[in-house]
Parts: sequence; C-alpha cells; structure tokens
Amino acid sequence: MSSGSSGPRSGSSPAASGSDGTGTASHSVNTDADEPESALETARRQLHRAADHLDVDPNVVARLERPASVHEVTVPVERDDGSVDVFTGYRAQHDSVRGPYKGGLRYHPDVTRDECVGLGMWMTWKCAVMDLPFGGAKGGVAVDPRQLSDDERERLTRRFAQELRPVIGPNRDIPAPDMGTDSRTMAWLMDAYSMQEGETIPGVVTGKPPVVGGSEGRQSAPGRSVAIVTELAREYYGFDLAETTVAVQGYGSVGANAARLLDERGATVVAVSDVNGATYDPEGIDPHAVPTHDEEPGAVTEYAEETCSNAELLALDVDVLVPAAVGNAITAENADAVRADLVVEGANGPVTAAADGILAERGIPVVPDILANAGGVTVSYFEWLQDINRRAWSLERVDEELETEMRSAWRAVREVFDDRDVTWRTAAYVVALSRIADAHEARGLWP
Amino acid sequence: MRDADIDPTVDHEYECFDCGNIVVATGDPGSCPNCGGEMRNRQTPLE
Repeated sequence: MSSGSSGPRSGSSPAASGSDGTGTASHSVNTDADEPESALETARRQLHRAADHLDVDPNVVARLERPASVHEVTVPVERDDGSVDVFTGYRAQHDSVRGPYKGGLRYHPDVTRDECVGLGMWMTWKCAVMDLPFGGAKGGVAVDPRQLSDDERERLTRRFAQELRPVIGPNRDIPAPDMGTDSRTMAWLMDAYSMQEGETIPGVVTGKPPVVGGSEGRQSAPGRSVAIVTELAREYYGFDLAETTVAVQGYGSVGANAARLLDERGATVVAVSDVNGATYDPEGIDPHAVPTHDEEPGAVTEYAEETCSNAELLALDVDVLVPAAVGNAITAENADAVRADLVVEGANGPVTAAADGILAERGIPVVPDILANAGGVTVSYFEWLQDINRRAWSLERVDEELETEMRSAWRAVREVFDDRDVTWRTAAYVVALSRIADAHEARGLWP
Repeated sequence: MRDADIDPTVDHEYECFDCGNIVVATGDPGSCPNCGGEMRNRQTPLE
C-alpha cells in the first residue's frame, strides 16, 4: 500500500477567515442585481432582515452570525489499487440552543467550509420555523463520489464517521443524506458510529433504510408539505383548491408528489415539466397518470398534445406556480413574466433574491422554501423520534403528524404576516429568529 | 438560499427509496429496476 497525501485534497484553507464564520457579518449585500450570493451571505442577510423586525438582543444576533463550531477533519482513504488519497471533511455546527444540531452531509467536489457554515445557518432557521427541537448544521467531504467505487465510498464514510464521532450523536448532532449521499451512506455511518460506541444507535443519523430505523413517508414528505402549504395559502387568500389551477416546474420527487396530492385535494394541475420541457392542458392533467421523469424519462412531454418550454411554463396564467426543480428558476430576467397569483417554493432557492424583490413589488406572494418544503426535515425529526423511542410509525401516522406540524407552522407564520407589513419569506424568518432568540435569552450566556 | 445545482447533461446517480438500489445513468433511469420503487436524484438534499 502506498501512503502519503497525494490525493485530491481540496476545500478552503483550515485557517480560512475573513468573510467566513469568524468574520463580521455584513447585511449590505446588494440584492438589486442577480449577482451570485454565497450560502453564507444569504443566511446572514436573512438573519438581519428578520432581526430588523424584532426587538432582539444584538448580542444574540452577533452570536447567530457565526457558527458555534466548525470541525475540519482529514479523511485518508485507501483506494482499490492500494494507493491512499486524502480528502478534507467538514461539519459546521451553527446553533444548538433549541436542541441537537441537524443537517445533511454532502459528498461533492465544491464542498467548502463557508458553504457548510451558510447551509448550517439555513438549517437553524428551517428547524426553528417548523418548531422542531433541533439546531442547524451542515457538513461534507470535498470529493467527487463518482470517482470512487462502492468500496472506496464505504471506507470514506466509515473513516469520516470516526473523525466526526466526538461531535455527533443522537443528542448532539444528527446528519442526514444530502448531495452525493444516500440511505446507504447513512447506514454505513450509523454502523461505524454504533460499532465504536459499543451499542446500536440508529438515532445518530436520519434518512436510513427502513430496515435499520428509517421512517416511512420520507420520499413524499417535501412534496406533501408543498401541497399542504399551497392549500393553506389559497385558503388564506379566499380560494378553495377546487377553483385553483397549478403549474409545477420540475417533475421529480418533490414536484410529482406535490402535484399528485394537490390533484387529490381538488386542484387542477394544468402543467408539469421536466428538463425536456412541459406538458400543458388548460383543462387539467392527471398527475397520477404522468410518470415522473425518474419513472419514465420523456413521459412528461409525451403526456399531452400541447407542450411548452420550461420558460413558457413559468409564464403561464395560473393560480399557483410551484418551482420544484433545483435552484434559481425565477430570476431578475424572468420574474416580470410570471403571471401566477401565488408562488410556492418546492425546491431550495428557486427564486433569486432579485426576483423575490420584483415579485414582491408586483404583489405576487411567495411562500418560502424553508416553510413549504420543510416536510423533509420534519419527517427526519419523526425518524429520530422513532429511533430514540425504538418504535416505528405507520405511513398513515407519519402523514397525519406531518399535516399537523405544517398547519402549526403555517399558523405561526401567518400571524406574523398579518401583524407586520412583510413578505411571507420575512415572516417565516421572523418566526424562526424569534424562537431562537427567545431560547437564547431564556438560557442566557454561559458561564 | 441557493443550495444545489444540477447539470442535466452529466451522469447522475439515483437512489431507490424502497430498496436502496443505486443507478448511474446519463439520462434518468426510470423506476427502480429492482423493485419499481420511487427514485431520488442523489444531487438533491432531503432536508
């Protein structure tokens, strides 16, 4: 076996500072242009936007601008040919005042310390708006998982688990699948952690296969929460789903499940799209009859006679537009073309900051991702509950409890929206920050 | 919050929610060849 550190070590410097988790935050980020904004910049901007609407102790805001800790570890992995590559892994733990840290672990070449810090902050807000007893974290390894064999990926995961073992645990920090990782990765991580701890501890991660403590209902959870929130938003504006037309951009797991549940609840889904284009029928389509892009590639555009481009779908005259593809679908360039009465974010970050401002000026409400697609992390919470209680829930119970949690979160955000002249997005962040700030003030500063 | 970018022109890995089977494909693989279960593009976060 060869040795050394000839592998693709990448990511930011261990000593990185300045505009990172130790620097002074700025909330004068220019959101007028569609300049790419880092995850950390976005998370801090949203923190300050919410803080501007609350009487929050500035010292609490100052603490929330920074992560509680960022762990950087070296992960040496023996390749199948006997050589050794050395990778860099991170776990950014932002805030745990409300409970253990929670957030994904990603395997991707672009993973950096700052990205983990920003996305970890975002998880703090997401868990708080849902009133889950978790804080926020994010981590990963700067590696291209497609360059690893299955055995190499397993060795990477087990070594990463060992390096993180002192700082994770069911009551400390609970990772989950993210970009490049999956249920199998979580099963390896759980096994490595459990073997070293000397007991089986399924609650150390979520997103596991059901046979080792995973939950029913996780595949449909984000789409289900999108549908629930869409129904509640339409009710708020005085409409029933039976008189609601919906266009869904992105017909993967989130978009398909949202469309199917909205259809079951009475809405008329008139358009769905995948990367190849959209199918459109103003009389309505049956989402159950359209295979997802995953189920049958190309089927979306073959379903109806009338097709259109993804750009045209975004400009359809519908009641609700659900951008459920990944990232930055609605930008400053196309926000003026949106004709929907309501936008519900199914994906993470489908509306850019600049587009958000344009839609707000045009009076088009946007229900934000941290509320709309929070079914994913909420079912992770359910999985954790099942694991620590050693009792599995039925799919029916998962769905019922998710409905209850979504309605509760919606009520809290709606009250802030009604009381203050803010957007739905800001209302969600105000709810999140107020809960976190209250917890900090109740606990005080140790020692 | 900008999170994950997906390039539809490159290979992606899909995980079956039901049996955990992994499929790597240039285009999308269809439903799980093992069990017919729903699949997740592993580029997408779950939470």
